[in-house]
Amino acid sequence: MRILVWAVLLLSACSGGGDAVIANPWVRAMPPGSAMTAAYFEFSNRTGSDQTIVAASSDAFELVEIHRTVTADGISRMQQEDAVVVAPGETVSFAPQGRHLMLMRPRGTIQPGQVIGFDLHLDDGQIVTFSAEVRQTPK
Amino acid sequence: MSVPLRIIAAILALLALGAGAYTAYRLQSAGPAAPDDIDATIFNAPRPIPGFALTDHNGEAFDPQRLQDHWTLLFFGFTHCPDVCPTTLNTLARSRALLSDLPASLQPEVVLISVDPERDTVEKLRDYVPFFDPTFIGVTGTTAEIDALTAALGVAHMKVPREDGDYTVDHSSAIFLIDPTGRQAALFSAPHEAASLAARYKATISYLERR
Ligand SMILES: [Cu+2]
Repeated sequence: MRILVWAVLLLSACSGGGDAVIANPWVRAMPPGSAMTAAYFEFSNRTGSDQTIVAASSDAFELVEIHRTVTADGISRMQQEDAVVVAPGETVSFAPQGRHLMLMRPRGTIQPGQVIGFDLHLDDGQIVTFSAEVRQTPK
Repeated sequence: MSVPLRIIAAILALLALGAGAYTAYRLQSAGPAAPDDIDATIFNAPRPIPGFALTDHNGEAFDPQRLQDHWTLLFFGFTHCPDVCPTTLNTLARSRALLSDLPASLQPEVVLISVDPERDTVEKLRDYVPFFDPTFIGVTGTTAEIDALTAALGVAHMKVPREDGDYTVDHSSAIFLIDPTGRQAALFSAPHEAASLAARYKATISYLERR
């Protein structure tokens, strides 16, 4: 029993809030002077009910939006998403050419190797925090 | 069936066989059809590209002459693009590395043409494009010149305003293959992945070199 409690504590320490686990987070390194970039990760819902991501924020960017790139008829376009629902036990991927956190108006220079903190806001008021390294490609 | 009828039927059958063989022969002499197992749209006849006068990220003229004597992979994008464009440029960089075993004459030059010439100045492209691969070439120009070239190639792109007054650009995600005489030879549709793009490129140019 004690072991189980510790495991749960460790998980919440990683994700910062709620029973959500963030895996493989990274921020795309962009050429100097770029006005925007994107963050990618996998979000796993370890609770027994839906988790709904409604917003995201970061100290490193003035504006963070949840987007999804959709390619149809050979044309790629980005759509803003108001909510991302993650069913119990499910994992939702934020990945290149798909869902991403769109990071706009950096507050300073964003360098490869830098670690950036993020807050994901859920509809029940919970905040899931994680940090992601700036890299040119995922690990 | 009476005997004369049988003979007529046999003659008709022979004629049909002959016609089939002749058609097959004609088809073959017209050139082999694009093999279905190559994941690319290969044009039966390469399409000439009308003239254009653009500028590369070093400020040099980028005109049809720049597409001569080497294969080119042409991609359309813009620098205020956080997901698809950098993903594609990284993919192209890794594909090009995978193609380094090809003879120099068969290695592609990679060119990004901006569909956002208003914001993508020569200086902006100079900071942006070589970041992904120092051999890549960024190209921009006047809105009229970009529009003329994209229309000729059938590249859709449209400015989409954002609520905050900013804008983004929806655009074709295909990668175009230009042959060493500067004609549009094939196109590769998204999604793009480095290993498969390198394989698609190799299969397509070896087919086109044989054709
Ligand atoms: Cu976006």
